[in-house]
Amino acid sequence: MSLSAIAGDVRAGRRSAVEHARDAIARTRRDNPRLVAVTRVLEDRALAEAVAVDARVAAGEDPGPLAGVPYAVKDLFDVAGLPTTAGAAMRADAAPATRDAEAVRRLQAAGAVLVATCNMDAFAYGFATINAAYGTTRNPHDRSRIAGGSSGGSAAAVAAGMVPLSLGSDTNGSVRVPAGLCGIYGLKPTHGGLPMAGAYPFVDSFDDIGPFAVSAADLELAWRVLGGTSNDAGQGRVGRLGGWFARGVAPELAAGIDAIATHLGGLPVVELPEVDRARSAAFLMSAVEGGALHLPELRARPLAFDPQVRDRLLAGALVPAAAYQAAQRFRAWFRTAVMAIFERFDVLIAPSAGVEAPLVDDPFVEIDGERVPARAHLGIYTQPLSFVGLPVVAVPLLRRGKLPLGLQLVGRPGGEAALFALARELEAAGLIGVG
Amino acid sequence: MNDVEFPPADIAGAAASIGLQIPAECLPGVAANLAALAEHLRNVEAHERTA
Repeated sequence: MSLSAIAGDVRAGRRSAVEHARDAIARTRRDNPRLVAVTRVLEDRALAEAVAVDARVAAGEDPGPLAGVPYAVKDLFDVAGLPTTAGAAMRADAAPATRDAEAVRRLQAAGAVLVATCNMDAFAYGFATINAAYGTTRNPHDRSRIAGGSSGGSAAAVAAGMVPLSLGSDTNGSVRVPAGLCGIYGLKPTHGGLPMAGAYPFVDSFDDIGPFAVSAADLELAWRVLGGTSNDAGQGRVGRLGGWFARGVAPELAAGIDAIATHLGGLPVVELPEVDRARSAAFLMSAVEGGALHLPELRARPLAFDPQVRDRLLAGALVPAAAYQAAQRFRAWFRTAVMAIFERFDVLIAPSAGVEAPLVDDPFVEIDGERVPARAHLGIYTQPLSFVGLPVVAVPLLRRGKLPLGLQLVGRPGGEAALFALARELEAAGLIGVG
Repeated sequence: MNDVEFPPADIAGAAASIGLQIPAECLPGVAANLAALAEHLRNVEAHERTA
């Protein structure tokens, strides 16, 4: 059921928000033990919010465009009264948040009902959602496989049908990678395009929040409710990224892009310059900013950190400032080069993860014939794009009965409208969609 | 990159200079990550040498 259909039913009084909330909670409690997507079910809060929505309907008021829509948030969004763990056991006893994150506030104001918080890589530093304290989130399409990360719980919760909407965050690909591996839609907005207030940071220079959903229309609706705006008219000159973005891609994914190119009457191949260096610079900046953010706790209690992130944060804290400055200089150069390409194109198509979801027990991916750890390499196609603040709509190839493969529709800053327009067109053509 | 040694040969010493004490069990992992970051830095700096 689409978000607008749920809200339409609730607004018309055909079905109550409480019924939707109870159903979402029941689905979550039923499925979560085998998926480990959710860290906390917020039954009391959800029912109180749902009752309030129903009361507004009964009073003849309009609760908003997401009336009664159940949703979940990555466990780095502040939820009033709860500690914001950011996926770290060492924050389980942090002081409770005194107010909701701004994104949560906006969803609530639109009538949505928060039912759960979701699992993630500790401190959002990873692409796997393998969490020492809260468990490994399993892919709903094949529980022997990872869901991707770091927003893996949020993606799995939507892919499994626990909730039709969730929020994640994306620094180097943490929305786009799990969206691709779980076969759903996800948005990495233009940097700064959606409110970060009350979202636990990772790399301030390119952290963003974004929604997951099961259709382009749902994703766009959530983006607009969250405050997203676009400065384009939704007209698209489309290209496909080659070079770096064509290497190591699963053949079926490459064939999917070929099919899209055929549908669009052919797509020029575009190469971004020095993408490998962009990825290197993104790695450096992530390590340095992450290390600096956590330096006080690294000094005080390093062994309290999740072992999956601890050594990387410690290393990041030891990177000299001159290295960070070199990465920043490269970023400025790369951004200029990318912006020049977007004078000729509105949308560029690229893989998201590039491969099917790796196995939990063997989390490796094959890149150009070489087996490499999934944790670091699932982001090879995503890191160089968010690094310069570009908006990306992550979409699933339509592959019924098969493991998901995902794409990125990449735009210029403020160019989300063109991305959503292309997503709707490809969806209508049966080329992308939830299988 | 100026005259700062990176990755540092003496990781514990470099850590101590910023108030960090790296547990012994973390040193191999930290060293591996520093080596990877140093490779990324060389990659970035190569751009400046060729630009």
